[in-house]
Amino acid sequence: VKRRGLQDRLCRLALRIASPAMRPWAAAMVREVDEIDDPRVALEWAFACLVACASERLGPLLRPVAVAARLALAACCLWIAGRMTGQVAPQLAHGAPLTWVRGLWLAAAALFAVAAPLVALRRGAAAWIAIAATAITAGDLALATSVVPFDVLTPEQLAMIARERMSAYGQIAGMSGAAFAAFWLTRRSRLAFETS
Amino acid sequence: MTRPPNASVQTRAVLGVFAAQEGVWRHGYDIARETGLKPGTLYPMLKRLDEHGLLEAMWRPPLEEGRPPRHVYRLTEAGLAFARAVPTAPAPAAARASPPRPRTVKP
Repeated sequence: VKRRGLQDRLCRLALRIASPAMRPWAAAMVREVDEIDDPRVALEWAFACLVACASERLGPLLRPVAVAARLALAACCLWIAGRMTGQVAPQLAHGAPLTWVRGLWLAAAALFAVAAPLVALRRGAAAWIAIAATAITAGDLALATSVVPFDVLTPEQLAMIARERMSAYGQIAGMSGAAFAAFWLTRRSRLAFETS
Repeated sequence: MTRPPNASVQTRAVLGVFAAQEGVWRHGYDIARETGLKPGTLYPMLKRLDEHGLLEAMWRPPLEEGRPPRHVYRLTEAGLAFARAVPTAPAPAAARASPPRPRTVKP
C-alpha cells in the first residue's frame, strides 16, 4: 500500500494523538485512506481522522472552557445591551414612558443573546425566542415613536433618534452574530463525540 | 461510561444503511459515502454502538495479497432490533446537498 506523503503524515499524527481507548478505531479510520483512489478525497479523510482523534483527546479538557466562554459571552452581550439602553434612549422632557422602552429594549437584547447560541446549537426553541425578540423590538420601536409627541421634536431630533436606534440594533445584531459564531465553533469542536 | 446511543438523525441514517442489507459486513468509507457523515462523526458513533452491543466489528483479512486487513462492521441481533424500533431517517443534509461521488473504493 502506497500512501501519499501528506496523508501519511496526517494519519501517523492521528494515530499518535488518539487515546488508548480510541486507538483501534483510529487505526480503522486511517486504514480506509488506503482504499480511496481520489487524492483529494483521501486527503480530506485523513484530515478528518486527525480532527476526530484530536477532538476525542482534547474534548474533555475543552468542555469547561467552552461552557465558561459561553457564559462570559452571554454576560458581555447583556452588559453591552444594558449600556446601549442607557446611552441611546434620548433624554427628553416627556421621558417617563421611555423607561418602558428601555425595559423592552433590554428584554429584546437578552432574548437575542439567548437565541443566537440556541440557533448555533440547532435547538428548536431558538426560532420562537428570536420571534419573541423581534416582536418585542417592534413593540419597542412602536412605543418609542408613540409616547413621544412628535410636535415637540424637530425633524433633526427624530432623525437622530432613528439613527441611534438603528445603530444600537445593528450592534445587537452584530453581538448576536458573534455569539452565534462562537457557539458554532465550540459546537464544531465537540460535535464529533456527541453527535449520536 | 459512554452515553447510550440515541435516535439522532445521524444514528438513524447509519442504522438505515446497515438495516438495508442485514448481515452484510460494511466498510467505514462505504457507510460514510452513503450517509454523508465525516469520519469524525461516524467512527465515534460506530464505537458507541459497538460498546452497547448493537454492532460487531472485526478486522477482515485482505482480499489482495500485500494489503493490510480492513475493519468491517455489521449490526448484531440487538442492533437490528434497535434499528427496526427507531424510525428511518433521511440522509443528513451533507449527503443530500451534493451529488453522489463516483465510486473510488477498490474492490
